[in-house]
Amino acid sequence: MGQLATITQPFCATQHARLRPRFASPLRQRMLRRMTQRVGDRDLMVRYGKGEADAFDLLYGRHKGPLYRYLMRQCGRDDVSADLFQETWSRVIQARHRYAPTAKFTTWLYRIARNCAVDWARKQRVSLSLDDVPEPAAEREPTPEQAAITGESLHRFRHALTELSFEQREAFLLREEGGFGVGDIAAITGVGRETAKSRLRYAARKLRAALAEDAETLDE
Amino acid sequence: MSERNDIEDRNVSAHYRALERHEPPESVDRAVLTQARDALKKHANKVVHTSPARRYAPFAIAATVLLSFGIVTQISRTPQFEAPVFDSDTQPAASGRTGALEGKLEQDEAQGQQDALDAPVEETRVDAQAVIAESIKGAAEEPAAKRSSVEPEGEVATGGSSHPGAPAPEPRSDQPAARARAAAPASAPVSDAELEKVSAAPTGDASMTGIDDKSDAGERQQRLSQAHAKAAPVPEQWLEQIQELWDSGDRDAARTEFERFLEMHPDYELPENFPLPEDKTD
Repeated sequence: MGQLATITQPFCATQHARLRPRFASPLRQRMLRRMTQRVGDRDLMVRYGKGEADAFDLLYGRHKGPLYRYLMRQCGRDDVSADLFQETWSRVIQARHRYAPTAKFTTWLYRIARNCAVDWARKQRVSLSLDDVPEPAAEREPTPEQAAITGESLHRFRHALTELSFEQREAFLLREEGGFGVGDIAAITGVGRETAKSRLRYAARKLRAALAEDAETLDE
Repeated sequence: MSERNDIEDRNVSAHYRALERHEPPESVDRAVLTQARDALKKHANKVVHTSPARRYAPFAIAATVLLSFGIVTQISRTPQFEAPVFDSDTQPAASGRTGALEGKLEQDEAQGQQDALDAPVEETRVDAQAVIAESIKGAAEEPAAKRSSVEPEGEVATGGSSHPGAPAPEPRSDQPAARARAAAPASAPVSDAELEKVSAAPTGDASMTGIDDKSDAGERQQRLSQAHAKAAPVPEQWLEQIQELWDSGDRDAARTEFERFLEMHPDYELPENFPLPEDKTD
């Protein structure tokens, strides 16, 4: 009975590891995984604020990739993006007691990241260029769509992305990396809904135009 | 193209996803996770450290309250200092004395004067006669020039300048009392106001510095009685001066001086040949 009670407890890694030998059956493991997935970001952040370090591990694992790429595309430099990434999580850690569960965690997280990026951009006052970013080796198998995309078109697309304004690129990256809708983008960037929608529209139009040029070049 | 398609383009999204998938370096991962755990440990340590302080907080508050109560009680028991009220007529503000000491000094002086005035006339006369005898003996031995240098006491006694070294102002001859004083010798009788001046005159050390106690009060009383005795007249000489005033024609002054003589020596047996002013009518 006591063991069943512990299952409903926070799904931190230590408890998970402690229960694994007794509940090693696939059914139990599936139950644990499903219950772990059910725990939302908000709850994890609240639990971390109450002192559960494992909750933060889960939260970090969920959001580290998209957040890092958002910062990487936005600032354009590998070293700077790593610093901004660490600064963002540092602020999250420091503000763990101030987090209000009513707010969406991802919105809160990306707003902090955006503030870090804006602060850095104001200090640097440099034009951002993604051309300087070194391209790492592909770690995954490309999808058929990605396989159809040639290296030339990717280069054009990357260049077109750098040509976007800070705000348009920001809106586009928030939608692509964070999966946010127009309302969330407006909330994160602190502008009105129509403004966010306009930025998204202009960003997509410019990127599409760059790809169209690429298609025309290929046709010729 | 619709608005939704204008914003969300699958081709654009596919190109974006075809870009490299950056991940944070492992060093950054370790740093962030370590920082997250350290923050919790620091918070836990802080809670442990603050618990003893909270435990002793009531004792600290109680000690503070007791100390404050003790201080307030002590202050309330301490007699409060009351500034003395100065009389601007008799005590100038520039005398340099502190209020409490000045009040005490004034009280001592008044007591001394009262004692001197209340003393029997016989004692005063005996003392005065002794002092005058000594002064007459000294005057006979010393030259007249040297005798004049001793006159500052007389100046003070005759109501001159308050400064010991300053020359005495000339008395107005139209005032009978002034003429009488001018005609009177150094040991002529003086009024009570002049005696007060003598007693209240600064004697140099204690009264100027404001340091006074009972021994000083006794000393001052003794000095007052001496001054009173010195100022007291020798009846014979006084009568001679009155006689001279009468003979010179200044009868008002002679009459005034005789009245003062009778006040000072009501039991003195007048010589038979003394022309009493009241007997001599104009």
